[in-house]
Amino acid sequence: MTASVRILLWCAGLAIAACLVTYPLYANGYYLALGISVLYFTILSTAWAMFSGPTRYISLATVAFFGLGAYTAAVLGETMPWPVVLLAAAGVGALTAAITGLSTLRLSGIYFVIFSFGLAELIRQLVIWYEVNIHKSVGRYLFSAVTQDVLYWQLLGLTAIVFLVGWMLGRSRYGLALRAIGADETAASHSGIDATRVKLGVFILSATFMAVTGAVMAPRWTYIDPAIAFNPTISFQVVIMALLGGAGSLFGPVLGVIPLVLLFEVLTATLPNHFSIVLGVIFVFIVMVLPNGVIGLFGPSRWRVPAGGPAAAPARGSDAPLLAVDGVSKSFSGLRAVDGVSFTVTPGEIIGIIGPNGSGKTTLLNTLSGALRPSSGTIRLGGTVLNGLRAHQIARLGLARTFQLVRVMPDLTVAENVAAARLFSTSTGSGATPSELLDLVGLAKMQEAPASELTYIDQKRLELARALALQPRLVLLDEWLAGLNPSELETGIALIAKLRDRGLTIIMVEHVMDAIRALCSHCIVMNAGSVIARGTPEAVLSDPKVVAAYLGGDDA
Amino acid sequence: MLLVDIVLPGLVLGGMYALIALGLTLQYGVARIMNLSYGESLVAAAFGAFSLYSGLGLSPLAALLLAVPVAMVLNWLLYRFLLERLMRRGKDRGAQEIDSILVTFGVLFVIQGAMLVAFGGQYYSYSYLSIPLTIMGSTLAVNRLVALVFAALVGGAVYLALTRTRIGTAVRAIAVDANAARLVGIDVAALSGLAFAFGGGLVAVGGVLISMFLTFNAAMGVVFTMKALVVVIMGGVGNVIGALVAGLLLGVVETAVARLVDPGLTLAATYALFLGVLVIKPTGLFGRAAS
Amino acid sequence: MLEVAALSHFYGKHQALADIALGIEQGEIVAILGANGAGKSTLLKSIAGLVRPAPGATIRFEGHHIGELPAHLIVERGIALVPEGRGVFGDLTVAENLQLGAYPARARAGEADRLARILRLFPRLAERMAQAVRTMSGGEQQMVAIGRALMSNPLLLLLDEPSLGLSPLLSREVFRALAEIRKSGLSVLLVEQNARASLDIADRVYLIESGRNAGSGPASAMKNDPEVQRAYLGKARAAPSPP
Repeated sequence: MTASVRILLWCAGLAIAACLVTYPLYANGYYLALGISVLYFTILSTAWAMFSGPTRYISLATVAFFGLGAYTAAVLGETMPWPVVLLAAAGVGALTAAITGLSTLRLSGIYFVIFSFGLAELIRQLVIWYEVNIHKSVGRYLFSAVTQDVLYWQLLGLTAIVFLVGWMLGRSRYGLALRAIGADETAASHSGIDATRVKLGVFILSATFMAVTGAVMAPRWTYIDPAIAFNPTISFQVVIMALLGGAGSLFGPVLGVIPLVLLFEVLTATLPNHFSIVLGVIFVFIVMVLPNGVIGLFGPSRWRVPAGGPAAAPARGSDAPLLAVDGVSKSFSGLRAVDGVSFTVTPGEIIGIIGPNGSGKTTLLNTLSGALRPSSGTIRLGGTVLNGLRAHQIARLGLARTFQLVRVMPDLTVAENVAAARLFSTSTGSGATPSELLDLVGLAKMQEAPASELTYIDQKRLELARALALQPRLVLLDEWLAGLNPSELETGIALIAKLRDRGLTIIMVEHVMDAIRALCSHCIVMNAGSVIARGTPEAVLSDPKVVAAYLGGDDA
Repeated sequence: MLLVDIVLPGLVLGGMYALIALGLTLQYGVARIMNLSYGESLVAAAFGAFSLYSGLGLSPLAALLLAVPVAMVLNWLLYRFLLERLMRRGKDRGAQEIDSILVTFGVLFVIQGAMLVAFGGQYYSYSYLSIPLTIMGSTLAVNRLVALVFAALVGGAVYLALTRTRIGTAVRAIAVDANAARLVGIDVAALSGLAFAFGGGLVAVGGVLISMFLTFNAAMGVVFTMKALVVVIMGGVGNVIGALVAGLLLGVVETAVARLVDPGLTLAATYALFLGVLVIKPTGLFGRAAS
Repeated sequence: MLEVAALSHFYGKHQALADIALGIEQGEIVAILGANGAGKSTLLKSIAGLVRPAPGATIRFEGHHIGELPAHLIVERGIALVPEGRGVFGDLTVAENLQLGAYPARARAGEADRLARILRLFPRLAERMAQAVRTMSGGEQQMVAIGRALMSNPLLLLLDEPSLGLSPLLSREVFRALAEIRKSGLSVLLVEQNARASLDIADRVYLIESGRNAGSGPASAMKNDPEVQRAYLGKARAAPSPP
């Protein structure tokens, strides 16, 4: 970009900003009202997309927070200074979001949609009850000195803030963390991201904006009752506007807001009685004609990635066990999937865990990585007891893993997938950067490609690079070589050998016995949840007990 | 007699809830459609019964003979021409559910808008068999009793059809595991459409019966949707007995809250109960973790 | 009776099956052997119509192309799949599961006789007809799954890992039932990780590796074939084939 173009863009931006700021000075009542509608839907749908865009949790609770804000203004508006009222509205919105979010953000999919719908209704009913029984009147009058012009400027200021916060969030590590969670929450947790806290934080942020918008808008109505403040149509309009414009990017929602606000305006003017019918039909039509459904509207999103710090060199050294597993069992409703397994891993070695299907290998890995809690026994990583820690805590302690069914974060680029595992890393050593890691696994040229477009083996490579980005002391590979063709297999084995030579400690669950023979110093064999043999690969694979477990024996 | 005063009307109300929840569990449990316009269909049926009664003097019980087939056909058309396409298009369960929720949200506005145009926003009721009857010291209108008997008959018939016939068993099989159902030769798409239509028929029965003793208006559909959802989720999705028990329970709890605490809080109590169940046990009080 | 040619399948970009070909004659038991992830389950699902094969595949059953049919119509043609993990209706009773097995029109005639025969084959089920299947042991659920498939009056039975997760005792009971079933002239296509038991019962064997055909032959000849052991345990230098 040349300097003159840049100056031109700045001038254009300033001109637009000036037009927006001075709009009330030349727009008359009707057009001012239209501008107000555009602005408040812009704030609501941008705030909605801030949380729902990356996580894909469809919330129909927008109006719950909006209405709470409006009611806060109606209650406090005449007795307190306006800035205090706005702060109070923000507080009420944030508090409500914190309480509901804490208990409900683990609900996903349809349950979250229904919950958010129910939340709005519950709050409306409680407000009605309070007004009728305590306040003794359904509605309230709010006489304030706020003119339409001032209201417009407040909304414009709030719009600027919501875009600024959204932009900063997108650049911060929380923005990438949130997208990682939306793409694959399990993979994100195992990359050291505390999914609950990140989701809750952004949910509260988004609800706060909605509540403040409600408070700013309250004086516009003069008379407020629950049917106005908690009108479910608002939630519905916000969802469709944000989705139409594109919930995946910061400026997407506003592109949906402008045409739809104008359309609704025309509808209200021309078909006041049939507004609801036409709105419904338009909505049904929009959902029906979308080729990829509403989910497709989320689209891939591109925000800048925070630069990753350098990675620590893998631990190397003493012969004290890095991992000590002692008598670990895991039962599922009576069935013992893992039964009293003990073993140790010394730094720098590769341990193989083998056994027939259903023998409990993956369950064992899941208890080590925190995906499952062991029913009994202890797991120590370099002296720290891992029992009871959650996946992201174990990941931050330096235990990384890959998954049996490959889990990359599909909407994120290759580089972002690796960066996601760096976000909350506590290690400060020096070592491989993300691009060095991608180079190591052979993905250097694909950094900007979306992970979903990689081939199967490249996704597996990416998963490994992401695990390494945690700067782990120990990596668990769950059938990392499964499903590869013979030549891919060779490259895969060579890659693991290279990691071993760099001093990394690895536990691999594998069915590809050639790989076990080539890589592992030591194997444990599981069958029906217990260890039936241990030793070098050659020794255990010729053990008749092991052969019988695999091929089916007469008395296995 | 306070207890009888609570339990009897509670059972009447609960019977209605159980009936409409049975319809929703057919639509959601079997056809996998979370139908947010469900309550609007119920109110539409109530308006239908009102119009037939006040216009033609047709008894609501006779109106059932007209309302149910019409509702079934309309619901089948809705499934066949809108929802089935979404189900076929959706890449996974999540995408299908979100699309179907949003489309039925749109349908909600269409039905509600049509009723607002036709009837306006005011409350309606009519007087049919509102003869007081004293049972164990508690007074109950005959129309409520008739509604309860009808709900029990229809609910019982549906229960028997679902458990005692081959096609009913096949419908339940789809709710348990749609993929396994295909493996035993069940045409899942066709039977899902049928189940959706039957669910629509049941909500029409509920709407007509409720119109005999409750006042209603064009905007209150969402209340019934939420109540049906509460009952279905409490009972466990696709669980017929669960829906019956949870429906009766909700009816009694609501009547108790209205009677003992404050009538204005019954709806809030419903939602609180619902949100509580969702948070504590999303698979329902009688449901099991999804397989 | 079944003829498969040029069958490929992709999960996204991952090719699970590549140009698989196989055939089954009337009354045969054919086993498919191969390591985990070789594509065996995907093969059975393609035949049963649960997954769509990539264009160009031929699946012919009794002379008719069935590659494009939906799953429920393939059952009507006489192919019944017992899927991996059994796919029983856990919340329904044993009796209801078996009744649903006879849902296809081809299975309505002679339903009572078939039920009686199945209950003779699995006497444990006769005692538990009113029990919810979910509450039963893995072996009993497997019996329900096989019994349900047999209720559809199939000509060809597809079995996916019938002994997975079963104790050796129950596993033997399942294989004993299979030996019994073959006497009725039914054809069976079996995917099983218990290679020895499969080789004992099967007439012919196909080996599959990484989604590709890797050999085939009569079961008696494959028993001592080092290729079979290799498919499971890799190429051991010493390859000590046990007696």
